[in-house]
Amino acid sequence: MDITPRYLGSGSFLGRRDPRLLLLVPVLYLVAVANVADVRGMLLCTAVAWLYYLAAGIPWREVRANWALLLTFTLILVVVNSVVTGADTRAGTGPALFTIPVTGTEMTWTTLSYAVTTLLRYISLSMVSFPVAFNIAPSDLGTALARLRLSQRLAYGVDLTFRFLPSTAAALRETVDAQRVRGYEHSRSRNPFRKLLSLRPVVVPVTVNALIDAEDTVNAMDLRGFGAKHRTWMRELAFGRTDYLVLAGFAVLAGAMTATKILGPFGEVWTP
Amino acid sequence: MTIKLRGASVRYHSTGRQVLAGVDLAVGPGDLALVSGPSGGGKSTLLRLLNGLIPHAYRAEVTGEVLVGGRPVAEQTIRELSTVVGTLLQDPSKQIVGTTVDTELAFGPENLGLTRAEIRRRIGEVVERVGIRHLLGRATAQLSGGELQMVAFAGVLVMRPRIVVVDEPLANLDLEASLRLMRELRRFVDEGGAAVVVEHRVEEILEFAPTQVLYVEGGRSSYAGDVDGFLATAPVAHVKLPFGTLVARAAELPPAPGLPRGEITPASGGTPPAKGPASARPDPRLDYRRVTLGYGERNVLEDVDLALGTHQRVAILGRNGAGKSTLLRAAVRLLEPLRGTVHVDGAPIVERSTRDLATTFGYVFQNPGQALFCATVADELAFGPRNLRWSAAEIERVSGEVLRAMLLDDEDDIMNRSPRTLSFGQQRRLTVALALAMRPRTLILDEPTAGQDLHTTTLFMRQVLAATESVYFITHDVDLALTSADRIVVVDGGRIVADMSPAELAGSADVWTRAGLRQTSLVRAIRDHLHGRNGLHGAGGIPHPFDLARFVSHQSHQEGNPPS
Repeated sequence: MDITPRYLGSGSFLGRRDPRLLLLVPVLYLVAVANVADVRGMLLCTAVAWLYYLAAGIPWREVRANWALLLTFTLILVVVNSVVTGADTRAGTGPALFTIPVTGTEMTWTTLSYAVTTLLRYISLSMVSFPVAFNIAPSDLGTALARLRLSQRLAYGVDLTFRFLPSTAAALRETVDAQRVRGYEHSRSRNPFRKLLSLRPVVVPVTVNALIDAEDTVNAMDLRGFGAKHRTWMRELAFGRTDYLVLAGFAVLAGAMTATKILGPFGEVWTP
Repeated sequence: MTIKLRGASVRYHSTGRQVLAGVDLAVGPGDLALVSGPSGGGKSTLLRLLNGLIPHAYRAEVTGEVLVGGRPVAEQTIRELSTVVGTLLQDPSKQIVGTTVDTELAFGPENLGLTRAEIRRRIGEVVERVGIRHLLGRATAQLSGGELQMVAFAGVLVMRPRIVVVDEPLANLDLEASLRLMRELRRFVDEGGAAVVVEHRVEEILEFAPTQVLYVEGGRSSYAGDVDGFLATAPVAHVKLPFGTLVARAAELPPAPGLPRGEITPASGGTPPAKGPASARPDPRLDYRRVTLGYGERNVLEDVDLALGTHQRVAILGRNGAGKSTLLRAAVRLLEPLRGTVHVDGAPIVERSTRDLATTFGYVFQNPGQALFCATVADELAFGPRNLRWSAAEIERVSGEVLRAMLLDDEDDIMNRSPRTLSFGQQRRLTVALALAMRPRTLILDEPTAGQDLHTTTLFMRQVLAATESVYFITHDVDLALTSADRIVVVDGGRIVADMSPAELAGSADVWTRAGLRQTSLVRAIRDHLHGRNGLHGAGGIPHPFDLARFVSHQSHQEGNPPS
């Protein structure tokens, strides 16, 4: 099991950007799409997100499993929330196209338009978020968060998470082996509670040992002066002209979409 | 003096237990102090007192005088103390917080708020000094144990401390890797620094000429003075002393603690049982036939032909990463051979699952904490047998037996205690009991005594060696292998480079050089005094160091030469 962070987009357009830009863009994009209810506006936003994702240069074969999982989960979420349960109260507007069996929910153009808008919103948000996972060097993430004025402890905590992921995975493997030689096998039961309980021989030692080891690590950090108010971050980050341009572009998108919600064009669900 | 303790006592608030009582220590520039003593004697607490974790991180009542850099430790922040005292933990992997060597080395100076130019200058200096420039840019997760230790040391030196305290530098690594660190530490002292080294393995540290020794036992200082005085008075059953010292103190050595012996290999040098027709000899317990083992596309061991007997005590020796654990994990199918076959009791191992193999091999991992998860010792002991569908009555019977075998039955209400409340030594014995509860015929132990003092090690091995018909164990401790095993297998460079009796191995100078193993004074003594004297050693085995020391002393007196 390899859980080492995957730095897949190094060298790409986004890989060369200041990591803070990659953290700020999803926030701005979220503001933008949160204000869009019209599928046409959402298509416009999705096109921008798609261009941004292409600029990340993330190899498709490396992330297709991630996308498959994400699309499956998103699709189920949207179908259940927007179609099956008829959560959208605009279902009554316009003629019914068909009725969902069992639930009896009537489908209209408005309902379908709402569902597609929701689906695009989630997918495009993922597009602008993938570069956070794959285009920021793991060693830069803590620095980037600190330079965004988050607490130094929190920022370094993120760095530490990446540092200890491989050793935690190794400890997990070792513990599974230590229990297997005592006859432990993971439960094949379909009962989720029984399945969960059967993980106890692995989860308990891994957790307890991680807590014990954490004490040593915290001590070691204290003994090297960690926790002072002023700290130097060796990694220098600098926003370049291109970074400012990209950031400005997304700020404009967020502003424009907010304005359209207030002024009318994309504020309501569009019905063909 | 950089550090001065006068009548220092510590009582933890959490337990109310007094763990240090009236300890004195003074360490200044050019001093290398060795702190030794039995496990649980207060050494770790002393270390925490020196670096300021007590009282700043651990709530404890401290009495007496504790001065660091001439000022009371309680009046300084840990950050201030970090520029005076540098600390190297026993396990460097817990100390290293950077994802790359560069970020790791920068961590301390960054915390001090130094300028980037100054940090770069310090890193440049320290990587040259410690000889790790080639590691810059590497991910710390990919470093070997020895490299990690050197990077951790560099991460301490870059803070420019006046004194470095080191906790058990020899516990986790093979001796050669650990001694590289000690050489650098000695250089640091020679250049005007000071060091305090906490270590059980006294003999190896003596090579680096400590200027003073503090022996802490039961929280009290039972010896404080120079090395010669310590060697003359140190408790011989508790401290691993150089063989020459044992000879010099031969008259006062106690009877050698008896270790159960297994099948003794032939006197001709303990050659392992020859391969021959199956009908002519019993099947070996574990038989590797042209086996290649590895992970993914990386071969760790290649073309291994090795047969381990049903009544043997086998030690597996080798450097860190040589493949010792890989070899024995294949015995319980935690790892499948990439090529070749493994047979257990004459049958291919693939016919049995890891669960089935638990009644043949009891596998004990190095860290007891990896196995313990139940609320009580009784439940913990029952876990394995329950997986084998044994009856409640049978489980109760076997639980009692194995606790007795591991000398844990005298503990108050042991069955209802939480395993985590036992001491580390007790937890280690409990993990052996957990393996024994499945009635295996052979025990496999991975580094069973790492970081334990001599007395604890001796008691532990005596119980373990008597528990099953055969024991195979991995160790870095050459002397433990020589004194506890009747056969030693040396792994190096992806191959088995030696498979012989302890006496024969001690005499094979080329194996030690080839496999990068360090010859202890006991190894040299066996070679110098035992070779060619068949009557002395039980064929392939060797006598206990006490018996050998008495013999050497007696011989010297007979020949009129005082023992050296």
